[in-house]
Amino acid sequence: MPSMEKIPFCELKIRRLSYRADIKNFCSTNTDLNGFLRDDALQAHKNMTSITYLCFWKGTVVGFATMAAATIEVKQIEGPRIEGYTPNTYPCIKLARLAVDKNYSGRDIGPYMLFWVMGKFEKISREIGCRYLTVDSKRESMWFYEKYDFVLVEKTKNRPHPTFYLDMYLARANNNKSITSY
Amino acid sequence: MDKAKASYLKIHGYCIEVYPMARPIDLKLVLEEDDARIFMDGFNNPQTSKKKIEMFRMARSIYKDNQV
Repeated sequence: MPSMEKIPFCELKIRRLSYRADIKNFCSTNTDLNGFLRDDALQAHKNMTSITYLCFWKGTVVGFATMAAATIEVKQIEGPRIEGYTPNTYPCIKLARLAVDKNYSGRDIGPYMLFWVMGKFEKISREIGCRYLTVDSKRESMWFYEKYDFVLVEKTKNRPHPTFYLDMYLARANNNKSITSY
Repeated sequence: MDKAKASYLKIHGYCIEVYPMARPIDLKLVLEEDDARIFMDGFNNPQTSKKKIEMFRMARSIYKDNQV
């Protein structure tokens, strides 16, 4: 039976997926995610449509996360409109894939990668405008995103992959001590 | 065999392995009605909590040690 002991965050390393990475032994409980890493992730790099990052522990790939630029469109809300220009699309980054090898599940690799993605987001948001992190969750992983204060899009809650978003505004605001510095 | 079909079927000798294609990444989220209202309320009045502050602090610390 696999160990359930938590892996200290300092022992985990993130690297960008490359042709040299040994991913053949990676196996999560989700065949769709395994297939994406094995067959599509490198092609997506080449096409510049998403970037995949691998999480290593002691030289073994134990998880991966994929990020892509995305957008949130807000349909006009009924009632009087605010004067002037009101944008109806908002920039975001999509956590398009997040998976942990089934032999390492329950060992805090998922939270580690989610935090790393948030840290990466914070860096990117300093250079280009983006405010939200979105994710299409597996139904069995909804608790995970709820735990980290992601907001569920009610309209999607009965779909196979319900959508969540997280407002990252305060991630930057707190880093700069004062919101007024914007 | 075209490229799309090849991604479904990988032929090794007499054995055919069938892999499902990965779900495409949907890059556009459309919010309507109550979802739109909740989103706009949050956009105009972002709320914080000790939990969120701690979460973002942890995120910065982890990324700082693993800048890729």
